[in-house]
Amino acid sequence: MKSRKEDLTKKIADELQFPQTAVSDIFHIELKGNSDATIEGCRGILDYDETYITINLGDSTVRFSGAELEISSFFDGRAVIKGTIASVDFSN
Amino acid sequence: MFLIRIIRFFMGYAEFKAEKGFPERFINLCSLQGITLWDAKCSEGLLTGKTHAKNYKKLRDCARRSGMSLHLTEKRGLPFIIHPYRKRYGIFTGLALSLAVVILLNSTVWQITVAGNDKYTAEQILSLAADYGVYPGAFKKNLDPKKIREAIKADNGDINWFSVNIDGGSVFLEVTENTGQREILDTETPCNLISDADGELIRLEVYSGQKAKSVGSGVAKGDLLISGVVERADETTYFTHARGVAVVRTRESLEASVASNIEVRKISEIKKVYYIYLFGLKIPLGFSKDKEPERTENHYAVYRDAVLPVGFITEKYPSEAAEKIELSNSRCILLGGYEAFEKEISLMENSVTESKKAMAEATSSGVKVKCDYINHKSTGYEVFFKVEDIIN
Repeated sequence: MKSRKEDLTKKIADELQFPQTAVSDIFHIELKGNSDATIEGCRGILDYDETYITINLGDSTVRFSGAELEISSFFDGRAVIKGTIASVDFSN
Repeated sequence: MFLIRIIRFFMGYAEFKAEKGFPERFINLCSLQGITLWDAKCSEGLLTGKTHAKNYKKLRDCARRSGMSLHLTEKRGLPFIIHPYRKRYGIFTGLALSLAVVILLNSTVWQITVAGNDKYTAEQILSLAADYGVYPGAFKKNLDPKKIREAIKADNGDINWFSVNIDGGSVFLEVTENTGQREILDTETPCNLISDADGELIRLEVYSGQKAKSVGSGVAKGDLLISGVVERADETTYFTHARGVAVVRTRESLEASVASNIEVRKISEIKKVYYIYLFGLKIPLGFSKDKEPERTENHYAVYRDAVLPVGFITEKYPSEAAEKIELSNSRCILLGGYEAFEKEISLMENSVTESKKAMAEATSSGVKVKCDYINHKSTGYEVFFKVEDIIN
């Protein structure tokens, strides 16, 4: 049921050309070069080390790999990761 | 980012390190409890980071629940800098006072500049503006430029425009005065040119009209010099506005008498009252007088070109005493000459002196100065007439 509702919302947003982040609680990741990533919609940190950070996004997870990674700030579902990001992997 | 750093500095923050346990869980618990963390680094099980000073105590619970050992490494920010001085009330009082002074000085008018005035002096404009609340030391928030402008325009018919522009501590007053309507010279209506002096006519130039006197003839006050009724060679008549230049040689004299015994008022003593001037406030340094001062000297502080509303004022109250004195003859003649000179200014209007003879004679009470002049006086005033009156 929830999935159908989300599909419908997505369809309406697509038709009206609204950004999906405005109509659903989908996560939003923004990268500035390979040194700065802002993730909105974080549910929690799953793994944290200098070389990788795994973040829970609800239905999926995202893993940032690289070097000298740090969580510059984490508050209210919004995390900022700084460091040298080598790869971003998603998994369900 | 810079602004965030400033806010964090003012609020104070703590640097910590947490080891053992589960750093991820620690961060998640902090997030759930609404504790802001930043610059969190995790390396080989050691987590370092920063949080607001007020949140540090809450971290202990998160650390306990995530099995971590929490240590405070540094306390930074303003609250921790001023903490050792918390009982030195003088510092805080001084800071509060200086802040209050800065706010007070920032909210007042320091300098007023007047522009666009011609008929009125800058002092008159400043005095007028002061009546409507615009003066050095006035609070800027109390000034409503629109209301002041409308009130001044309504109350002063001579002022067409009055704008009050506030720029920081300076107020610029822009004035546009009513210069009055320019008098339109009537050069069309028929008129005669009449003499207003007695003497010999030495020059007569007719630009329009008909000559009524010839050069060399005598004229008296009220005589017609140029007529506006002109007769043509074919014995027809037309009417015009008589114009021209008439110069009459006149004999004039004036007298001035000076008594040798006169009463003068001598200044016996000048009392001074000093004031400190601070933003429109005059603080007397002594007993002020009820009467108006004879003279006021203002000494204001100046910074670059700006006159600051800070300084001191000296009011002078001279005490006068009446005294009778006897003038010598030479002094009497001197004073008589001065008096005659003052009368001469009005006598010489529109005149050039050809010759002047001055005499001084002693009288029973003093000295009498008599001056005789032969002047070349420009004469002629317009007397309008109605054509119907001439025809009838």
